[in-house]
Amino acid sequence: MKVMNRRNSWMFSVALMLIIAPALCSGQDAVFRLKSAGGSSKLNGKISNISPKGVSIDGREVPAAEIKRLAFNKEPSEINRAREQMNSGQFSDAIEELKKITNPVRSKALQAEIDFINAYSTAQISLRGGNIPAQSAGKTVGAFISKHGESLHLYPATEQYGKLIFAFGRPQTAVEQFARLSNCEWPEYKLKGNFLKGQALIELGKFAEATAAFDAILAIQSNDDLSQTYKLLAQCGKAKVQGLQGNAEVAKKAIEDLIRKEDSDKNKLLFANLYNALGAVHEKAGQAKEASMAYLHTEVLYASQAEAHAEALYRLALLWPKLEDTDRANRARDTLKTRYRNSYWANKL
Amino acid sequence: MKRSALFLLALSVCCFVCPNEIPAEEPARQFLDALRDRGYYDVAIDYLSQVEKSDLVNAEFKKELPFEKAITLIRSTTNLRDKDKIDGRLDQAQKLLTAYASQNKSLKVSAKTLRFKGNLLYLRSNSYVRQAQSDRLTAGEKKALLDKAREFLTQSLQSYEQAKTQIQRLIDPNSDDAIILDAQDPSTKRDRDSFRNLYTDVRVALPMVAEKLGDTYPEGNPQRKKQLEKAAKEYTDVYNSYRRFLSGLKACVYAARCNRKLGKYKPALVLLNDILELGDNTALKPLKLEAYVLAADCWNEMKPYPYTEIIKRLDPAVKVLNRIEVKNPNWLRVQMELAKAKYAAAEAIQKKGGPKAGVNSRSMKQSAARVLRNVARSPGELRDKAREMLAEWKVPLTETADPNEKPPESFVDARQKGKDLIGEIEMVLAESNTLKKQIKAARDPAKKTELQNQLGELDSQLKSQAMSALDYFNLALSFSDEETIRADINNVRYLQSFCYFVSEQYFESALIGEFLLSKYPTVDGTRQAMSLLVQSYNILLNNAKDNEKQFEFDRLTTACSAVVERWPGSNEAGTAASTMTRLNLNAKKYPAAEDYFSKIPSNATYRDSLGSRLGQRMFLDYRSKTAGGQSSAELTDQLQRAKKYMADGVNSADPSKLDYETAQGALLLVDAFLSSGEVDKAVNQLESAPIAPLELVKTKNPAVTKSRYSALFARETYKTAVNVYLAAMKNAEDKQKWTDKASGIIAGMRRDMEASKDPKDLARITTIYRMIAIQLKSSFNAITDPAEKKKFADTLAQFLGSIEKDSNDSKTVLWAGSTLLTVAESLAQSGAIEAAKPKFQQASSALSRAEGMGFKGDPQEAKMLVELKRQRALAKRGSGDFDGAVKQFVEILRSSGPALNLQLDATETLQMRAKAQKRPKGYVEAIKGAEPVKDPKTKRTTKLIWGWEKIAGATRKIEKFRTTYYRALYHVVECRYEYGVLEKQQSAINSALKEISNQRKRDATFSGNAEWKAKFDELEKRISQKK
Repeated sequence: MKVMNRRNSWMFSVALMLIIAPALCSGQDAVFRLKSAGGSSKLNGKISNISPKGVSIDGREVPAAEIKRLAFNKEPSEINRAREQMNSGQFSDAIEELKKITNPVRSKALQAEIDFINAYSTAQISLRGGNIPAQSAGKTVGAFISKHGESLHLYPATEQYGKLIFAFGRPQTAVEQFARLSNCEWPEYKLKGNFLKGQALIELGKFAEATAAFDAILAIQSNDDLSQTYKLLAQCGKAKVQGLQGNAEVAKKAIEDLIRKEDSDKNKLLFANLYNALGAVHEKAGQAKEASMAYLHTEVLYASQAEAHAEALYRLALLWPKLEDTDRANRARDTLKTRYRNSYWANKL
Repeated sequence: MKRSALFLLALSVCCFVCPNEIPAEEPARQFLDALRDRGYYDVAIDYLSQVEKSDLVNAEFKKELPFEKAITLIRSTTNLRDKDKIDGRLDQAQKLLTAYASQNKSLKVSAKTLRFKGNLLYLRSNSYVRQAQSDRLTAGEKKALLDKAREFLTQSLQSYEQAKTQIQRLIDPNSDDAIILDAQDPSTKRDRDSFRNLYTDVRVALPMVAEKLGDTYPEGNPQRKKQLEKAAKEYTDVYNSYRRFLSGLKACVYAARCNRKLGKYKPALVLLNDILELGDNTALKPLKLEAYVLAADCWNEMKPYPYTEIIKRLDPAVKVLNRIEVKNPNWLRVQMELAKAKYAAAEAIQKKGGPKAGVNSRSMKQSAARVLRNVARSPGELRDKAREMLAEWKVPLTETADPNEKPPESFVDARQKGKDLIGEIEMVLAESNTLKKQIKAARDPAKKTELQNQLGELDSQLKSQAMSALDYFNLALSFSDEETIRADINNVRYLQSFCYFVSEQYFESALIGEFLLSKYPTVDGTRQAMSLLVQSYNILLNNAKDNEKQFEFDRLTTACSAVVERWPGSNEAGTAASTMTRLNLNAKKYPAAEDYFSKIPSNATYRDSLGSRLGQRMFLDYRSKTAGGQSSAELTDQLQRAKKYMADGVNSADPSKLDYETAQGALLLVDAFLSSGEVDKAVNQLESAPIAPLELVKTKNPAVTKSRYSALFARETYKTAVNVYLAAMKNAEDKQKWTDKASGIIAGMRRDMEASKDPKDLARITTIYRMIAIQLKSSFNAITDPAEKKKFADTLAQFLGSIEKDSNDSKTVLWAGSTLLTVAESLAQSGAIEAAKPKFQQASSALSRAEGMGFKGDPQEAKMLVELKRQRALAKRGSGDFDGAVKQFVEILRSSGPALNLQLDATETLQMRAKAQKRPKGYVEAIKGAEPVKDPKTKRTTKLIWGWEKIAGATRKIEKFRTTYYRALYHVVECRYEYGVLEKQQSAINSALKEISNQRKRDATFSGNAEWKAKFDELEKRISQKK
């Protein structure tokens, strides 16, 4: 997801396409490489090898984490348009754009690009509550993974696959997918893999394994922004586990310390998770009112964090009747069923 | 280098000044605002209480807690209907604001507080204005309420004016008190901006209050004109100042509204045009709708009628309405105006003539009819008017199908076609429901038949449309394949279930619901089908024969339980839970009924009335159990819960839409309050609550008068009222007040009955008197504490004495005397013989007065006189005048013959006289009888008063008089024994014992009558001890 967001930030890529078009016409491939200071640089040449770890272009190895995107010789223009649409969140348009490619694509790498854009867009439509059930989207992404196991997009696809499997109610199978990510060398997906695995394990009630997943994040040496965020999320996850194991006071203190210390405007993902964790701790301690108050924070302040929001709605839908407020339960239920209809939480309700 | 050094210096300073981590807190302000914006006021109040103790929020926010709580309380009242609750919250808010202002004496605090005080006073006025709208009030009462509302509105205006001046001082840069902006401190700008916003709020509020003040005056009143003109001007000023902001645009619409109220339609339309010209922004939609409605009202008044302008403005807006909007009452008003304008345009085209005039006019008329049909089919105020218009235009209500339509070719197409028909079916259903109500209300048989025929036609139309829709849905399912989304298929199944339901094929409808529930419970569409499933089985259960209901009952129970468990809090679970509540209520399984009732969503429209019914049934059950002598903690709990359900039902009901059931609930609630000793609450509910039974009877509320139980309701209300007032009288210092009230009720009841001139009603007076007497006796007997008993007896004596004294009606006086006698007897039985004596005397005197007044003309006159005399004899006896009592019995027996009940009373009186006068011969009389007379036929001497021996002999062999026999025998033994003791004659005592042993030989178990056996055992023991 973060990669996609980072890609989103490159709004000038359309303009860039106009610049690189002559290069493509000249019979060369290209790798657009992210620069640490921002922006990207282009490497022209012949792409000789593609793997989930990275790309070889004219004998130079470029790690996957540094690649913004690839461009191939004789790449149909629809692919790039679809990619741009996908990066800007127009997933249905991206799929429609790909359908315009009528000539057969002979290059395996190009086919992988097409299939990835299609699979990723399908997954996003489903996960965002669109008209594609999670199971059906899962099939599309699963097909991509089996067909293009050596694609550069394997890990982003695996993340989506795991989320879709989780959404249609198979947390254990989702854990296996997330475990694959946690073992990869791409730091972003390693972090995500461990975090998502930890969350799914909590849902399965495997608290020791969940704690181990969060500890794995905390043990990572890097200290960049993304690592910092996931380390905070891991602390939050560990506190939640403690709370669910009955150490309510310790858990509450850890979560409240984070709430006090961190900036709620700058880290919405963290705060949505913190309040959900606080809700879970209170719920476990039998404090329904306090729990509902915590989940309400996610509902009213962090609704942009789809996954956490869906969970908060689910919990509220079950908590409100205990507090004799069935119409609010109704509203939470309706929002969950309409906005996140393909989510794990909507299906669990 | 120099620059770098400076930078490093700045950085190091920064490191000293700024902490390493900027301390952040819980986003309390955002959370609170979000909660309030969503209307979660109760949660917001809880949250504010919670953060008082929390260290997650900063001290500055904590300082503001009373203020924030006050605002939350004020805003929360907009969702409330209960006046007491509103007043309670506003009182609390006012206290908080006052405390907050007194602790923080700054201009900022003062300005903020004044702004919200203005709001609070405005809301207080609303409550009075609402009350004044009640039809039940007299003109004087309405005026008093409106005066009060004006008082609050004037205070509100003052408060807002002061707030405006103070805020101006804070935001005007030239003012000495202006908030100084500090570039280093962004909070100063935030602070200034918040006061700017507050200033805008106050500017909008001022004309709003003035407009409301104007509205409190009737049409034509100069004050109304003055205030509305003032409001219109101020709104316009606000609009001119904030044209680019929503508050400015709202002010523009409100200015137009004031102009319309003043009859200034053109200026109103000029303002409204500015709004109607705005783009189609979602945020502006409600405002534009308000503008459309106002514009429609103004256009309607314009001459000539500006139909071209109307079509130009309204047609594009109506064309893009969605399914929900198209039924919205305000949009219906807009659609009606558009239809009217189109029809006027069609007429104009026709009139103008020309080559295509006919075609164009017809097309315009068709378009007008299409729009108007929607209004005519939508429930609401405009439906009848729209139908009248359609009839005037000679246009049918239903549109005819297009025969050239192509059959559907895909799943989506077929489903859509079916769905279009569902829309039609829903309209027909709504129409059919209205007809059913009209048929129920119709008195004229011809009208009833006509309506029934119409209903028959609608039913056929409904079934035919449902069948057509089913065809489309079946077709859609035949088009479905692997690619078809399950939720879409489910949706079609749900619609099939609906079609079967409306065509009264309930098994089919239920089967589809069951299929979806078992196969696809988590798929969209299943939940929606559950209401149909529950309703279908419910209907089937009701229709099944009494001995064949088990199947439907089981299926219904299973379905309801599954739905409640799977979708708690949903509307469907509400339907299921309410069905189960009813079923359990019918089976008198109250805990289960309560459990299901708790699962009904609180916003369900039927919840309160069902709750009221649940409470009533639980209370009636409680009453019958306690009357049967049961008492337990569970029963007390049951009473408490029953009260809560009834109170919730009654308090949430809208008095202007009252029904009989709610009125009955209010009456039983009075009774329930009385049962739990909450006399104040009972009085309040009876007399002054929004739904007060006594008030309903007095004002002849249609909810009561139109019910077939109207007379019963009135009688029960009177009866309850007497009980309530007597209960209130018991502990009151001013007993006279309650005596007057109770007497007033009795007099009022009598007046009502006499005024009805129905002989049955007159006869009912006696019944009611009897019922009140029974109830009083039962209340009296329920008291165990002797002091309390005496206190209540005094209260009753005072009340009944007052009734007797004030009444000129013999029956009322007789009732007062009889009831006094009952009270005195109960008191005497409890051992307070001396305290009872004056009551017996009072009863005797009342009965004599009734006798003196006579019962002439009453067919029961002779019977009543005998009964009166008997009661007077008993009263004399109770007061110690045994000779007088015996004399009275002799007189009755001489005139009316030897009735057994009279013989029992008379003989008992002989025995009591013997005991009181310690006269051995008296005991002989009690056993052998007294007052010898010669039988004119047989010439033999007999005794007028039989005595116990003869009574025993007469009743011994008759089964139904077995108890009377034991009673007589018991007294025979007792008389012998007491005679023996008095005369010191052992043989008499022995013969008493012998009598008991003889009886034991004849019947050792006393025919299984344990009570009499115990009595004889006790008597035997008493005699043996003496022996």
